[in-house]
Amino acid sequence: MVSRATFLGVAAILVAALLIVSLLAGYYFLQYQNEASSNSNYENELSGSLSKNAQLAGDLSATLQEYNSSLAVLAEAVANLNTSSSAYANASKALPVLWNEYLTLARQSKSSVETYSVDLLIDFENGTTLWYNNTAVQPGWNGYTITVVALKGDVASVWYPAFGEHLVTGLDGVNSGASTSWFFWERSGSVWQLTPSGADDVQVTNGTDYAWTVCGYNSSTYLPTCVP
Amino acid sequence: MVVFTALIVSSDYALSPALDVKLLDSIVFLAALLYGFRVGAAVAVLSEGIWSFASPWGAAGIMTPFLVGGELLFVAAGWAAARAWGTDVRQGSLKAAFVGAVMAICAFAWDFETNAATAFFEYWPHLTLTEFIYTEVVQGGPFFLAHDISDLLLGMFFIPAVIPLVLKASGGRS
Repeated sequence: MVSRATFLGVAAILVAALLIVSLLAGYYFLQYQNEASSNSNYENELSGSLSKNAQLAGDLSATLQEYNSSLAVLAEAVANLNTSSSAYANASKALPVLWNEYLTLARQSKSSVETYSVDLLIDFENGTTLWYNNTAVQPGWNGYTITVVALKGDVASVWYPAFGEHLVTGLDGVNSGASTSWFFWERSGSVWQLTPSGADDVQVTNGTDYAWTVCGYNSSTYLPTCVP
Repeated sequence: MVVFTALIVSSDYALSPALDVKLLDSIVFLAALLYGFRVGAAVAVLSEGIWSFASPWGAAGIMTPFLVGGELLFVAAGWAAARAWGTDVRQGSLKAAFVGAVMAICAFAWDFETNAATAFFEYWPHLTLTEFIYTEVVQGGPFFLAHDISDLLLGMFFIPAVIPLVLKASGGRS
């Protein structure tokens, strides 16, 4: 027979155990509630951040499109301004810089922008050649514009608005002489072909090789005496 | 009584960084267990009264009667424990577990009573059940647990360990 004292003691132990277990459970529940609340806050913050990120990505995409349109307008200006004007001088220097910044921005933001890739050869006919390989250009640019962009504006030329053509007189600081001229070429397969008209009339195509050579020419046919 | 009170106040200061872990409850319980309700009650009133005004956390003010009243629960428990199980509580014995359990129950009652008073004064006259539960459970929850477990362990190990020392120091009188 259990004594009254022992019975009271065991009852006290049971009550104390019940209280402590209840407190532990309550404490655990409170912690759980706090964590669940924190988790919910984090989820909301994450959701908000993702939403803002999507909005920023949309804004960036729109900005890049506007940037691209502005570059097209600037390229058009370079192609049609009087080359002796200060506006042309500024625009022809700014276009390559802005174009490269645009490409960098698009690359950093992993945005997909449509560009053509061309190779441009400058053959100085004194044994010196310069290749501008995999040059990214905007679809719609002509041979003159890609030359200005590849050479960072270091192109000397005279604009003839009546013909819509530039007479290129110097590239990369090398000028044509009294009996020499700069000629624009396009490679077809493995053969370089002189373009039938000036570089302004050549709409560049993706993956094509182009070249400039400076040399003499036949005084009656005006065909160059050199090939790239 | 003076020795008990001095021990309580000094240990309260020593343990003040550990919220709700204190020797006060154990010593009050011990005083009542060994020397009866009157001595225990005197120790409880004196020590809790001093601590209520001299606590580094600030004076308890209007809460003082509730703190003293809560401490009298330990006095009653100590007195009742002496009557039920005597004063021969040895370490590792079943009686030590009984004392620990009683201490844990008293700690729970102390926290419940003082938290109820806190809620009463904080929200009066518009105290709602939600505010009452919030004060008891959310604000007081972690301290409940620390107080309960520390008193359980002190009751099981500290009190049985010091009973012989106190009896020896007092010449075996109880």
